[in-house]
This record gives sequence, C-alpha cells and structure tokens, in this order.
Amino acid sequence: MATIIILEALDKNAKVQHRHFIQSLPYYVGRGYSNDLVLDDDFISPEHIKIDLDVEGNLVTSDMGSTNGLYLFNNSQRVSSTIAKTGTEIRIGHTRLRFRKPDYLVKEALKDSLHDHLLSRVMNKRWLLVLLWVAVLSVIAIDQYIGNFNQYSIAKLLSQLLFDYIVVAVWVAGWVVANRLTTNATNFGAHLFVAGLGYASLVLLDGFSHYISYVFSMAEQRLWLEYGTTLLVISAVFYGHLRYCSLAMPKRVVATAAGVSLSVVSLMWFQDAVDDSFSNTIDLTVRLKPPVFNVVVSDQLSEFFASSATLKEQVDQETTRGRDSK
Amino acid sequence: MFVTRSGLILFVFFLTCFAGLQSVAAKEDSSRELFEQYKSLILQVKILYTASGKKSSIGTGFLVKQGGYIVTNYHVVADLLLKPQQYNAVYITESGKTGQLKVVSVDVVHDLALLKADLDNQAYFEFNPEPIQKGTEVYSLGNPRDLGFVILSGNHGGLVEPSLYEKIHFIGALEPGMSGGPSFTVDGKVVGVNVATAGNLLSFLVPSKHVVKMLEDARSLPQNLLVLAQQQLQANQSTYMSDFIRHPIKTTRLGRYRVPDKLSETFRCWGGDVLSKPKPYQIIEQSCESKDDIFLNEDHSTGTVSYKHLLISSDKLDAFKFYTLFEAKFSRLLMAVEGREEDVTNFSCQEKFVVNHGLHLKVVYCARGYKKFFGLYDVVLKAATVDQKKMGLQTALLLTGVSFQNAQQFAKKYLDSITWQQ
Repeated sequence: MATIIILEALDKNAKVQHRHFIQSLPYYVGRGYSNDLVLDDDFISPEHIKIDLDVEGNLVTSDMGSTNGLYLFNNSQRVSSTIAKTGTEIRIGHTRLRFRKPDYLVKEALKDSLHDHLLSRVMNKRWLLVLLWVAVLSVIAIDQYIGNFNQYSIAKLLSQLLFDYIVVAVWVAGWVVANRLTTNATNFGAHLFVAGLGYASLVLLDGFSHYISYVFSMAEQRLWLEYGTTLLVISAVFYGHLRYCSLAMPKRVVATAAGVSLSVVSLMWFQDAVDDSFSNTIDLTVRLKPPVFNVVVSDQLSEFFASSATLKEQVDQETTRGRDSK
Repeated sequence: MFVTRSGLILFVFFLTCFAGLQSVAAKEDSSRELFEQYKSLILQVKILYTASGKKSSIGTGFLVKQGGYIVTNYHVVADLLLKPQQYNAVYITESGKTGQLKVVSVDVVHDLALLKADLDNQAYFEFNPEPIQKGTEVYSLGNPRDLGFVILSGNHGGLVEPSLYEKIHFIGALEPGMSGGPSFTVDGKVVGVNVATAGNLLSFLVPSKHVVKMLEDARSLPQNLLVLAQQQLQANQSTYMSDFIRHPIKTTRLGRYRVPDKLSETFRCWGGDVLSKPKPYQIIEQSCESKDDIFLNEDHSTGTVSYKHLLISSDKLDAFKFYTLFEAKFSRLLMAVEGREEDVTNFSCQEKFVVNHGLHLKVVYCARGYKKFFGLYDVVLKAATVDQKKMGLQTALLLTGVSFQNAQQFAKKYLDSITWQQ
C-alpha cells in the first residue's frame, strides 16, 4: 500500500522522535489504545484528532472534541480542523507533530571527512610514513650532533635524550587511552607519529629561530620567535591528535587546537610580561653561527656606536621610572 | 674598661714582640703615652637601625676641628647616607659619652666622611699631608671588632703604586672596626685614615691630604650629599676615562689577533690556556682589571675597568659544532657585575654585526643606569669574530660607574684596537 503522508513527532529542538507512515484513512491519534497512533501525553484526550480527506479531496486534520484542542504550532488560536500539507506543524497536548509528503526532497549527504584527512592519507601511504619518520629522526640526530661539541659516545647522547623520550612516551600513552575511550580504536601509530613530528618540529623551529635571531640580530625579540613557534607546533600537534580522538567536525577540531595553543602562548606571554625581576647579569642570549650565515650588511664601527643613543634613552627612562616609583 | 686595657697591653705586646726584644719596652711606653694623650680625640661611630635600635655597623672616628667635627670612612656611614630613613648614627667617646651624629660631607672616591657631633671640644688632631719617609713609625687608633679603643704601631709603607685611588701602605695589623681611625706619627700628626685591611700585616690608609681637601671643600657644599657624591664620582670617572680615551691602547698578540693589553700600570692582568682534560678544542684566555674600586655600599662597588679575551680554536670540530661551542662560551663571557635592585636598573642591550679592519664581528653593547647617582652607568661591550669557520676571538669589556659618553668613546676605541694579522 502506498504511503499517503508521513506524520512526525518532534522534540523541542524540532528533531524527529518517531515517524509514522500513514497508508490508510481515516487515521486516528489519541491516548486511547484504539487509535492508529497512541501518544502517551497526559494532556492528550483518549480520542483527540482524526486525519481524513474532506469532500474536496484535501487531507484534513480535525479535532474530535478533545479537552485541550488542536492548534497550529506556535499559534494560540484553537482550530477545529486544518489542512495537512508538507511542513504543516500542529500541537496537541504538549506534543508537536509535523506532516511530510513522500515526495519531500531531502538535502544531499554531507561529505564525510572524519576518517579521510591529510594525516590518515599519510598514515596509509607506507613509503611516505617511513620517509617522514626518517626525517623526524634525522632532525633529532642532527640537532644532537650540532649541539654537542664535546666528544660523547652514542650511549651518552641517547641518555641525554632520555627525559625527552619519557615525556613523549607519556604524552602518546595519554592520547592512546583517550582515543580508546572515545572510539573503538587506539591509533597508536598515528599518535606516535604526531608526537614525533611535533617534537622534531619544535627542535627544527627552535633551531630556525636561533638562526633568524643571529642573522637579523634579534636576540631582544627572541620571545616573539618563541611564541610564534610554540603557537604553530601546539596547534598542529593538538589538531593531529584530536582528529583521531574526537568525532567532532574538522572545523571544530581546528578551533579547539587553535584555542588550546593560544591559551598556552598567552600564559607564556603573561608570565614574561609580569616578570620584571632584577638581575645582575645580561639576560640576552646572543646567537653565533658559522660565517656562511653572515648575509646581512654590517655596520661600520662609528655607525654602531652612533645608534647607542637609543640605548641611553632606554636606560635613562628606566632609571627615572625606578626613582619615580619610590 | 679594665679588661679592655689589659687586653690592649697584651695586644700591643703581642704585636711588638716580633720587632726585637730590645725595643719592646721603649715602644710599649711610647704607645701607652700616645694612647693616653690622644684617646680623648677618638670616638666609636655606630650605625643603628632606626626601627629596632640594633647595631648595623661600626667604625672609628676622630676629631679634626673645634665644634665636634669628626672624620671617618665613607663606607662606615654609607647606609646612613643612602637610606637616611632606615638608619641613624651615634658616637661613643672613650669616656663613655654618647650622642647623635650627622653627616656633613663626604669624599666617596677616597672613602672619607665628615661628621658632626654635639661635642664642645677644644683639642683635635692635626694633619701631616706631606709625604713622609718609608718606614717611619706610625701609630693607629681604633676600636677593633667593638672590643674597646686600642693603639697599635706599624710602619709607613709608602704610597701604593701605581693605583687609581691613592692609598698608603700601613705595615701593621688593622682590624675591622678600626676603619675611620687616625694613623699618626709620634708627634701626633695624622698621615692617613685607616681604611682597609688586606690580610696579615698589610693594611691601607687614605692619605691625609684628601682629608685636608675635604675639610677645605666643606665650606661650599651642595645641600644634598648624594648630589655631592654623584659629582665626585662623575669628576673621578671623567679624570681617568679621559686619560684612557686620550692615550693609544697598547695591544698584545693573541693567536693571529691583536687585542688590548694592560691599559696602564694600575691594572693587573693574567691569562693562560684553559685545558682541563683532552678536549677537541683549545681556549686561551687573557684578563685584566683595574686594581682599585670605590665602595658605594656592601653590595656595590664602582669605578672599575675590566676586560677579558678568549681565543677559541679547533681542528677537530666542524663549523656548526664549533659555533655551538663558540656561542656557549660567549654567553658566559661576562665578569660579575655587582649591585642591588635599589642601586641599578636591569641591563638594556643593542646587538649588531660590525665590520672593522676587515674583521667581521657580532657586537653586543649593554648599559644600565645608577638609580641614586643619575648620569652614571655600568656598560658592557661584548664582541665575537664571526668570519672564521673554526677559530674565533671573543672579548668583553666592563666599565662601572662611568658617563655614557665616556663609555661609548672608550668602547669604540677598545673595539677599534682589535685587529687581525695575516
């Protein structure tokens, strides 16, 4: 038998709770057990409404003399009957009902990117994954090589990294557990890869910021370089982990990751801004790099010292500020 | 008092028993006579915390004029001058009379202060500002370690030479607490003021000509003693800095570089290879510093010039590894700088590449200001050569308590004196 119309019971957010395919008329709705559709709503009468064709062939909903009556949704005018078309919403008792014809057009399906994203594609390409792991390990190895000018054994170098290993391991374990709690998979490989990539990126960006600081004589601005790299890496790492752990849509994951990293960087900034403690040493870490990085034009001696007028201003300002605050 | 006096005799005996048995009796007699003669002209100076009344520091002072004018060391009364709300000064005479003291004038460079007590004295010490013969018997009065007044004898050891701030060697054992006391000849003429002790039988006196000058200058003084001290520090740095700026800087060889050598005889220099165990690199170090400084307070001395050079080279490390080493050494290349938050600001710096005499350098120039002596700065110049792959020179210069302009001129001259020899 063909469906004439579909009756949907909606909740307060207009989400469908249950759906009924009306295939023969008349169709009765009420609290009594003799109805075609029984609704357990104390404000609905045992025999509340009837759905049937009128003389002109319209599908009509009519009140069967109920206690609390029939209303169009969001309308306080009680009606005895109403025409039922696609989209017609009525209220009986505390229940909201909606009609839809079988020819009602629904939207195209949303594209599902939950399980298909850049990371999963990388994880699926074995050769790319291996290549990236090689890159990650190379970055760590090169950093260790350049960073140690005393002749150490491999064992000593590895032991120096032990603390870092432990932190990364605990980090990965945390995400694996979280992943298992939210979904039915652990995705160990993916979390390890994200953590490894994050670690290597930190090493790489930190090193990179040292070179920038050297080339452009930016030791004073090192904090901003630090904020920048931290912001980037934390966002990326959180995004990577969350894509596996969370069923939220990509936009939300991006927002969460950005939010987390912004708050971390804000905290760092706040700490630095508040800290104006006194020091007897020069807290300026000036970077020195091989001659190949000397690409910026150098000052002449007199130029350099001519520009120290700004320095004097700066110091004098601080001196007078120190005196005025007393 | 009784205990003190017998202690004194024991002390004097102990001091003099090495000088030769024959003269012991005679010396003891003259010391005792001198002590009796001059004990009424010295007093103990005590700096007390105003809030608690507890003792902060002690020293000795001596009468130099009618009307209760007393000379002592600046370092004895420094706290009082810098934080007048927190401290006050009292005197105690040999006879036990006490009263408040007021600072009238200072000579911060020579560590002298002129105080005034409410004493109606007729007698006072006279001075002998003329140089006297080395080895002359000199007597020193004071209150060592708060044990009571003593006299001890020593010998005039002549001027400490060379030195930025003139001092007399006193061959005798001055003790802490005797600071500010007079050292005088047998006829009672003061030749110097006790100022510091550098260990057994090696002590220093401020020549009395500086006391005479302070007394003369005291007639036309600025109201604020901190301003006076600031003017003295300014004038002093200007004297020696303009001297350094005027004269060419003598250089010495360090590897293939020429670097500043001893600036003058008032500097002491040392250096050598730093190699504790076999390492893949070599470091040669040279350091110089001026011998004298000026006491401002317990935690802050000034008026010093010091510098250090490091020559670092390696034939085993590659360029990247070498520069990791070079960078690490550079960040630690700084001599300790004294001072507390209430004395100085934090350092501010500028950093640039500089090319000079074909040498490529990374140069950092930092300064901080004195909060109580406006117009004085501590300045640090650090430079590292960055044009060789496996060798480099680093240098650091620290000037304390100088004007910004003098620092800048000298730092420029200093850096300009560094050259590379093919």
